[in-house]
Amino acid sequence: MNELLCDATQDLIELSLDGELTAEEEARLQAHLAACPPCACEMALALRIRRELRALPAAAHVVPFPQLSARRGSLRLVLAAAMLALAVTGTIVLEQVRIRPAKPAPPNIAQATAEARYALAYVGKVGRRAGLDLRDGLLRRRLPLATGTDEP
Amino acid sequence: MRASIFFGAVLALLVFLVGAPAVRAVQPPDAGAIPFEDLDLFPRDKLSVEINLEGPVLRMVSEFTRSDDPDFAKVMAGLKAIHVQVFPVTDKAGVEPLRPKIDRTLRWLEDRGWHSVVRAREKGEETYIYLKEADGQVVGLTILSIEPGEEAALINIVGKLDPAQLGRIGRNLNIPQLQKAQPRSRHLPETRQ
Repeated sequence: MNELLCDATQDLIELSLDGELTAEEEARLQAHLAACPPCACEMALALRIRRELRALPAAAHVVPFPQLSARRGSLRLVLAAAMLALAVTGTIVLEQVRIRPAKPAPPNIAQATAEARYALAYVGKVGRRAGLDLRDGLLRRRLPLATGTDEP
Repeated sequence: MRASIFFGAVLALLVFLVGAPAVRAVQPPDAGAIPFEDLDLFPRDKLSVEINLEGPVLRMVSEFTRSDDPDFAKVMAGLKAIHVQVFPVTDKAGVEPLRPKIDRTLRWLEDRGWHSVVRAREKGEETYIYLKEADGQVVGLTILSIEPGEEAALINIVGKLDPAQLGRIGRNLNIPQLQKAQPRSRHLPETRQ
């Protein structure tokens, strides 16, 4: 059985959630997920998103369509408003999609995690050097500098 | 009836054409972010470390670390961006050539409502820590650290911040160990957006 690459796994995760994988493909996917924490993280995220989407409540109530014979004027207004709403929603959604950067690949997440840890470590290092104990919320209270330093 | 549908379609098209730039324009800049490119503090081609992590990547990092480091994951979940620039300061002139830009950067922060919580100079080392608040909450942390003979660093962390939590996690992390574990983190010319 060939090992899966992370890139291929991304496609298989979607197909697996849609129930479109063969038993053999599913087994290969599960084997890869068991051995690859970044891909397992992707799978968990995809499952969570799907679960949350399904948990969204149904529309609270349905507005009845206007009586055609009695309210032709209202119907025109409803149609125009619907198209307007569709255009506004479409514009916002398209802009959001355009603004949103591409989802990072799993190896980049591990690298990003290391970078984020590095940044926080630097914050800790600077805090220690400045004689601050950030545990006590010193920064939040905006107190002046601890003793042993002089203003530049 | 056909006329009203046609009218509606034309109206929708107009809204789409006019609305797209408008929606883009109302995307507000993050209050806690600083413009690294405009400030141009360090020469970018001479940085020893450059880190640019934006919201979507940080959310993935949060998911990735949720099970094995929940405290770290919680911090990441609230952040919108992390930017770090580290510049080696090893020549004899030290940071003096950078002084005008350092002063301009500090002035930029103070002019825009950043609160100085630390301005310290000791044995040639300088530390400046600024916080940005919005609606009574910390939304940005900027650190400028200068160690003559070693390096200078500008760090900007954007998002909902708890400085105490940041400090707790940062204290438990060790930079030399991280560099050993992730040597690539020391050379990051690429920008992750």
